[in-house]
Amino acid sequence: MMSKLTVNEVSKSFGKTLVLDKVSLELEQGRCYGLLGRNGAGKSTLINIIMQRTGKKGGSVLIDGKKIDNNDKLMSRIFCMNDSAIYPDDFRLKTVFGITASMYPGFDAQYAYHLAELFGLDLKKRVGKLSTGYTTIYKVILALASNADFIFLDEPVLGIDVNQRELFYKELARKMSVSDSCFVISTHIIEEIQNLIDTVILIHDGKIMLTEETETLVSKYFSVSGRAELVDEYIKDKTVVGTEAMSVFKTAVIASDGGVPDALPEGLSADGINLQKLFYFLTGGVPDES
Amino acid sequence: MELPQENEKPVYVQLADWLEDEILAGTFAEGSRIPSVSDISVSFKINHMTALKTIGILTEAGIVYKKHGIGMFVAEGAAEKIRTERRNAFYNKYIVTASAEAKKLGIKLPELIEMAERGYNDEQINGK
Repeated sequence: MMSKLTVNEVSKSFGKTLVLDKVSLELEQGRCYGLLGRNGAGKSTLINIIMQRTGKKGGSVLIDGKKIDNNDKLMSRIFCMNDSAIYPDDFRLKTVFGITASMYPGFDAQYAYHLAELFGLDLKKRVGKLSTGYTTIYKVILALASNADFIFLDEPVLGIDVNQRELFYKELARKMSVSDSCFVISTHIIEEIQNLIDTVILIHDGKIMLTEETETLVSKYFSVSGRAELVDEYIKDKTVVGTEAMSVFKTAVIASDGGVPDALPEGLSADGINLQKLFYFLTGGVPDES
Repeated sequence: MELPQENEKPVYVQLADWLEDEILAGTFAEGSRIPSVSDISVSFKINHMTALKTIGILTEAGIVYKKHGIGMFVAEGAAEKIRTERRNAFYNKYIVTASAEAKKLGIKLPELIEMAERGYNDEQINGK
């Protein structure tokens, strides 16, 4: 049976600042989610609450209706990349791999060693002696090999080079095609995961701004470009998500269920928009310089 | 490996276009096996459900077929089917709109045909 992890009206404050405001979401096994949001939006806090590393103000986290609080059996079905940050600096990677294997019954040690070889990770090294890149890599390897039902990949490409990123995306695609694990990827390099995630969860200012299938979401927006006054005239009666201008040239992103229109007024052109660009506009773009 | 980026098209369509292009080019000959869903999703780094959707659509269209336990194969006559389908799309996308625009501009049929000939024989286009 495919399981569901449910976050139900979870809130969290740091001092007087409300960082999560009644957040609810549902994660299903067999799916791959992109947990997206700007720095400080509340992504890591949400993951920390799910992993029970920090307390919450109200709400609950459940797997198939059962609260995960202090339930080791349920917790061993969730793997989070950054949980392994707790190992002491002088532990060797081999030891860390062994400990993870003992915590996760489905851990595939052979696959983990195979990945270590592919990524060029030396298992004799101590945790504290690793570069930023290799710190990311060893955690990614543990995540991919964990075979947990719910796997959280928090910044899985932080500090890793182009070749290693390519390898990671390929291994993730492979893993997804053969396992029923639910993957939740939190990253700022949205362009690189757009085609891997089937669902987007967008957190903004401590709230879930939207949860939608990637393809459907992207199809609901388009950009229109041309001379500023023509663009302004065209967007007057439309839902505008954001605009960018360069002298007399202007681009506007428009929400429309119809997708990219076939016909446009003379002098304007329309195009689809990718997820990264859409994210940029939905989360406020950049402050106006003028 | 990357699919040719076309923002306005969903990924499953981009993948279908790519597979059809390669069938037309003879890379995947009729009767031969195409890469598996897993190979496709790994190589292009796309969700396997997307690749499954593409394969489903191409199966429905009779362009590929499944041999149980072996894999997906290019159907006999697939290239011809793709060509026919694309010719229809070509007519709808270019000929219909060009004719409508020609009428708007007062271009008569002989002139339109003359223009098509000029474009067809244009060395700059052919040289590309």
